[in-house]
Amino acid sequence: MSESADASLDQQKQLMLLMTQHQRRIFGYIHTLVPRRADAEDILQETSLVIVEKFSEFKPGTDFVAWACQIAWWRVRAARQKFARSKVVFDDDVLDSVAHTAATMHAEVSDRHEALARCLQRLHPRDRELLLTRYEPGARVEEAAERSGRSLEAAYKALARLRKLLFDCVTNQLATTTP
Amino acid sequence: MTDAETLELTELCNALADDRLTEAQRVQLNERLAASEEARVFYVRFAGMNASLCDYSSELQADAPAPPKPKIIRHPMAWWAGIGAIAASLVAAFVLHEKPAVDPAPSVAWLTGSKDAQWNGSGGPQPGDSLERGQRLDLQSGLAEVTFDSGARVVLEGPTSLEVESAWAASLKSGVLTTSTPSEAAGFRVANTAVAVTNLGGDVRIETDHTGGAEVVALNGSAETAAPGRAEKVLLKSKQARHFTGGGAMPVADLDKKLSRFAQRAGLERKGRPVKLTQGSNARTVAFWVRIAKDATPGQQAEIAGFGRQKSNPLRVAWNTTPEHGLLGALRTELAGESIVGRTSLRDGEWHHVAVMIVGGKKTGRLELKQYVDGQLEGTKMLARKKVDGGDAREFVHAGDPMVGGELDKLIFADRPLTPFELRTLIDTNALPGGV
Repeated sequence: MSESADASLDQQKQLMLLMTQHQRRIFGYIHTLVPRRADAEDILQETSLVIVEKFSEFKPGTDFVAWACQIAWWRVRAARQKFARSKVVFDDDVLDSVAHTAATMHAEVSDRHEALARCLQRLHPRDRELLLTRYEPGARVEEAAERSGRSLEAAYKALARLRKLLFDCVTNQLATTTP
Repeated sequence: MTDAETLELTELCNALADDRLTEAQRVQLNERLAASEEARVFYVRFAGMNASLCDYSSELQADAPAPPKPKIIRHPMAWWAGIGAIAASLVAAFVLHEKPAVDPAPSVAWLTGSKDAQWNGSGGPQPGDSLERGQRLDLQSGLAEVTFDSGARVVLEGPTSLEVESAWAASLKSGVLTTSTPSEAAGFRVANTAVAVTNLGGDVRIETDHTGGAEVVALNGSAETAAPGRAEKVLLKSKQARHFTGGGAMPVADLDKKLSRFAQRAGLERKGRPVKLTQGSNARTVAFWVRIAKDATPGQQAEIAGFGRQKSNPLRVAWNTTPEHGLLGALRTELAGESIVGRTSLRDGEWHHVAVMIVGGKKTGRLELKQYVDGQLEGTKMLARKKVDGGDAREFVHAGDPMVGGELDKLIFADRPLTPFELRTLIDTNALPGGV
């Protein structure tokens, strides 16, 4: 195998490793800017393609998540041009500000992700099931309500209560572990 | 932020997460985020939590075997241009009247078979009867088969007590049952005090004992099991079993002997009223195949079929063009001021099977609309009225002739709601059981 072929294989392996390690964080960033999950997933797919195309420009040793999120940001901007007006949640200037804030919080959001797993374990199984059913790919609150035997309105209320509970639990966990 | 501001922002974030943010709330959210870095930090944390929940939920799904996609039969014969001719010969104007005095519970299952069944108390259910959410079945002896609207089937062996909870769940009070779930019903759940069993596809037997424990045997397929209040789950694959007690899950002794005994099954008698196709009044099921073009636009005709448009309560079947109501391209059924929006996009250039059913009536004191796509229950709506009559055979009209951006095939009307088994047979063979 030639030297250039070896280098290309190494680069592919490195890309795969980085994407496997950080895809969740990139998705989290996109989902923050594009709250509709299916749209966020589409943009993640488009972003991944661009990352593959441009990976030779990435400088090893620098922040991969920041680099990838910069690409994601431009995909988000491009996607907004295609969205129907009803799908756009944030005004342009607000989107800019939120993107800026989110870009500074990658590490914290990652810590919160880890803490959330512990907090989820503390929930009553019935509550955890409702919550995770709601977040299944393609699922909506109606389905979670049906499967948990709740009315739709009761499911909305329960989900709001559980998110508050988890949000506070995560915040408390980080407060107690942060020196 | 003040407590009141945090509360308000939390409410807005929840509305956004549940896809029910109103325009006024959207404006309010933008104002709050534009005005304060603290609010933006809060929002990023909240949105990050949503993304994490998507991730954890997907992880759990990935751990479980993915159910196969329902088999879709391709229908090369398109006849959307000729639908008007068929329409003229079929019926369905739905006339609704009489408000119920009290809100009855929705039906979520059917008694579809039995053998020597004796019920505790007087007058147990008969094959063909629908079963309400919360209805308790106390089978004294014999066998009884319950088919849930999700497509899951449960065979009870008397003495057994079961509470029907929803189309996707039941509670086993005591006794023995076997759940069978086709792919579209994967996720069906049976719980009791010792264990919660989620059938991921296949046959699973559950038997309670007098100590409050329960034995779970995966006869084939797989099931996820968990003791109440415990986070760890045990995935049982084909021919694996566990005995659950308050202390946890234990292996089952003599499993091979039990498996061969459980393999011998008694036949069930199914004496429900046979379903008939109708050319006239009292159509309770409307089913057809539909293919909507990938590039069909909301501006085009989205109505797939419309019935009784001249009446005060027309039934309208369309694909959803309003994202605020749900997934764009999903099936949307409207009747008597109620609507169901599904979760499968029909707008993908593929053939999908659609079935809309009117369940109940004067006898049961409730009237429900149910919607299935590719054999999967997508939603149930209780209607405010309790009686439905068939209309005039000549009142069927198709909205938009020809149907723009789509094709329709194998339209049938049946004189009663189909059971999930009948619906599956219709999808797989384009005929109802018995060759109808």
